[in-house]
Amino acid sequence: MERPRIGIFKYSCCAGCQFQLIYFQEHLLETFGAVDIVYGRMETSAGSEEGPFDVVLIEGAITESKQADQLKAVRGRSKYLVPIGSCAVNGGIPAIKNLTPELEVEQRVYSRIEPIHSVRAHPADEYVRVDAYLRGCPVGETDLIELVTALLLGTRPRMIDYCVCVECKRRGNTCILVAEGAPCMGPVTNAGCGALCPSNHRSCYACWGPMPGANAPALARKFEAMGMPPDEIVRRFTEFGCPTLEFRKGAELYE
Amino acid sequence: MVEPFAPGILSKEALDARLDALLKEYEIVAPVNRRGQAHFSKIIEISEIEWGYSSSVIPPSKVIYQAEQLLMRFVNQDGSYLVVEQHPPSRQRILLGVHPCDIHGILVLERTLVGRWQDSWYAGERKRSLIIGLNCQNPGPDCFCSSFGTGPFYAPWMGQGPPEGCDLFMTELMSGYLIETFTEAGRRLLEGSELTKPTDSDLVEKDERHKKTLDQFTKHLNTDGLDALLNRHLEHPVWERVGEDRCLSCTNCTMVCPTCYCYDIVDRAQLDLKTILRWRRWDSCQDQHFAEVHFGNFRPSRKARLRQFVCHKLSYWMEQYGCYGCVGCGRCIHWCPTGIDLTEIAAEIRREEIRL
Ligand code: SF4
Ligand code: SF4
Ligand code: SF4
Ligand code: SF4
Ligand code: SF4
Repeated sequence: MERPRIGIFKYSCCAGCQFQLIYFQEHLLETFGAVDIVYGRMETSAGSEEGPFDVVLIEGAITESKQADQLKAVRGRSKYLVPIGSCAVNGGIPAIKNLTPELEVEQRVYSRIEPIHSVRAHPADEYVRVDAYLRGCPVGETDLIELVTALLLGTRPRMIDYCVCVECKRRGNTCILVAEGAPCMGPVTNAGCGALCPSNHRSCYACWGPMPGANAPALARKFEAMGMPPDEIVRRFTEFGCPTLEFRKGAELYE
Repeated sequence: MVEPFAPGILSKEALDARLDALLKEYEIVAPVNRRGQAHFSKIIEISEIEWGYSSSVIPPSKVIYQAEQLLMRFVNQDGSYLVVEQHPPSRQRILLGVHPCDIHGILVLERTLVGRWQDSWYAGERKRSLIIGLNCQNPGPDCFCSSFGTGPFYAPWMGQGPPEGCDLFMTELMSGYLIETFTEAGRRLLEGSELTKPTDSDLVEKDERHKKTLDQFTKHLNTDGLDALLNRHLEHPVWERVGEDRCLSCTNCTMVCPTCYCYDIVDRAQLDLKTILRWRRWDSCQDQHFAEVHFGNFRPSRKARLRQFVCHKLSYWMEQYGCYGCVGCGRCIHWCPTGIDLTEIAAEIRREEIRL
């Protein structure tokens, strides 16, 4: 693709993924020199959200009705739409609130709730069709480079679609879930981080969200057999990717 | 293959001194204890070696067959791509302290990787590796090599032919190490060491230790007609039950299996778009996408995937290679987060057939 026109839209999140992009933009000019960022409030001061775009990157979870409206409109103006980072891919951290009634959440955060029109936190694909997922918290380097190079070369990107254990074993780590009874979420979590936490002797807490098709109930039952209290099991499966079908199946056994 | 040389005894001190000297010349990869687990790692000092280890997390065969290997580079030159194969320069190394099950693991793996087709990357890594075996006297709770005859003490491959798969072989005894030499390269490693002739009591002690070790096994697998047995029960309820209730499709079992050879090829373009790197990485039939082809996946269920792993090891392998694909190392059982045990699955199927 010749100089693809990129738009970056930010919804509810910490903006860490855009910082990751900016980091890339500064350090890898040869690549981002090959693309036009025509909209992105953190990347360019000018720019219009009218498009049309070749690629739109969506950051953050949808937590307001007007965000959903804009997302749908942007979909219509873009050839490809790709959610980036856990919030946009699976609800991420913002979706922790989904376990509490919306009114309580609003009251806890805002002193005046009249102007607030918040809704349950949802990933982008609950509203629009998406073309790929750029997972990570923040968005992963390997997948990001894969997407950008595939776009420029006109090939089909190969995203990482297996679980953290695969990367953990390729690194030759001792499994801390088996060896030490650590509550590692690696078997149900999508890889891409290079098994960062287990490689540093820490349990994976699923910040990349579920591997599609993960067998969360089997891992939840394993945690129970290890002596983990039910509320903690629920927390393991709702900290990230709370709205996903995979993690719901793990959490609902213990709710 | 050279006929075995006369065995000799080397005292513990003499062995350490010899290894110390070898360490100056070779890279030595040996079992090292990291947070309570044995890992085959490059050592700096002889004192790092954990001689009495039970099983290593990653098998030695997969130290040779690397998790990630850069195969080639495609370099864009004036619009066309130049293919450059990558074979990194390598130094001779010694894999030290390899247990018999794992030596057989290497031999089984090699039926695929350097059998009818030669994998030059594996062959290169294998060629630079001298192997010093060590009889196992400390089987773990998941070990069942005794059921296959692949351990705990070394016997030639499938009970026939000259000893294969290692250059030197050691057995720890009271008086030091009984050393058997299988290759000329192995003999050269010992040059300059004073080996004494083993006494009759040394040889009796070896036999006793062998028997004592065999008595320690708690896990057993009845291998009698096992391949045909499993083939008759591909729709047994155990596949669905264990697959759905417990299998995480996490791939840990196959990643730690010494004989699993499956890999994936992935091309990664560099950001300058001028260079594309082709990598080979361990893959696994437990991964959901493994059997994905155009328009579908011929193993979409956990039941089908788990059955593929267990039946490949204990049944289909026989048809493919004339041997079992399992050497009884127990790693897949030990490192499965939910404790899925192929010996239990096989036993359940056998029990039911007997009952029928
Ligand atoms: S430590 Fe975690 S990620 Fe690594 S193999 Fe074990 S369960 Fe999987
Ligand atoms: S190991 Fe798990 S928690 Fe840690 S960075 Fe990777 S996905 Fe996130
Ligand atoms: S199937 Fe299991 S026990 Fe058999 S060789 Fe592989 S890892 Fe070892
Ligand atoms: S198909 Fe599965 S069990 Fe067989 S070698 Fe490949 S990964 Fe191992
Ligand atoms: S290690 Fe266990 S849970 Fe994971 S894929 Fe293998 S059998 Fe299934």
